[in-house]
Amino acid sequence: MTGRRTPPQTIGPYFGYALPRPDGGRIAPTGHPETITVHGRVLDGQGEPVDDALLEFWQPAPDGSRTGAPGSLRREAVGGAAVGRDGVAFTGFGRVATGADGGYVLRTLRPGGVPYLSVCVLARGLLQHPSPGRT
Amino acid sequence: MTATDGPEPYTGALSRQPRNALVVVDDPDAVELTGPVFGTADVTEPDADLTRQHPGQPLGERITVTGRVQDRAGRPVRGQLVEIWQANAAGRYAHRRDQHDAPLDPNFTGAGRCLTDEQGRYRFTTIRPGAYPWGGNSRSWRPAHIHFSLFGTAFTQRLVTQMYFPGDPLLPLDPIWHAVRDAADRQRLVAAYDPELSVPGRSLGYRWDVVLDAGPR
Repeated sequence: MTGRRTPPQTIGPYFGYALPRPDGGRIAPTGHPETITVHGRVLDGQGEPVDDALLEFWQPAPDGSRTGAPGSLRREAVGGAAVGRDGVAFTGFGRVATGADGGYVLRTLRPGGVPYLSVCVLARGLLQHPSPGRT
Repeated sequence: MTATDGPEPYTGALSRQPRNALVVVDDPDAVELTGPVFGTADVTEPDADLTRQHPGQPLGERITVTGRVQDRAGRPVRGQLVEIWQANAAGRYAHRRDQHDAPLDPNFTGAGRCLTDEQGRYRFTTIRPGAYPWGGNSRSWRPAHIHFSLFGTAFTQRLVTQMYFPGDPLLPLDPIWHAVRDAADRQRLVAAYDPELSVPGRSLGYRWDVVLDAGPR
């Protein structure tokens, strides 16, 4: 190990026009018969909904492969519009901003080989990442 | 931990803080030693120039911000996604929750993205963001900063942080910058002015290198 890592800072309240994308929570290919829906709410310590959180999910494909695929945040090359996914590739990555009720919805396929999804929770007022890292 | 004569550090939104100490995972599962990948479908070349996203030029001091993304072992992080967002030159975000009474710039959105190259380098053209007041205390202004979001090759390397500008008189007074308690670590968030990176007649150059957590061994 050589360097120290660059420290994290809070994501703040204003990421909403920069990070979320259309279909960010739709990892499963369009119309896939084995699509599962994972949904819930993000609440603070008082039980109030967190309406400005960003959740990111990372998981293996159903066959257990962990290589992922590009195309989670597709843009249209000519006009630059954020067009969402192509509905074909299984990228393994999802990004969902919570709604006014703190709710999120992820549509994906069951990960192969492990019984879980990795989740990164980012929100205004959080100083550390969920994985605080090795030092 | 370093003693500081700076402001009371920002400790985050109280109701959102973990009640228990964070658990350092020494042996993350294999899944977390990999991570999402991005490619040319996700990023178009003009995305890295925030001054060319509208019909006209944005107001402000045009800057080039570039640097290298590497892991703690010094290995470049190649082909990964770097995203930025920032206020305009007047200190206003193009976000409807930002009610700061400063003008929006119709020629500036303030969001950009690019992929790192084979040496782990990223590069953005943008304008220097303005300072803005925050919190209930109107005398507390945030120093100019650019928000950065970075991915490594492992999901555990995910980093969201803020980049600051050298010599900003607001920095020593900023509780959020001081949320990083170690003085040397705080300096890792401050870019360096580098005239070698300036584009002659067009932009001022700043260098800011990023070190992600260890990643796969």
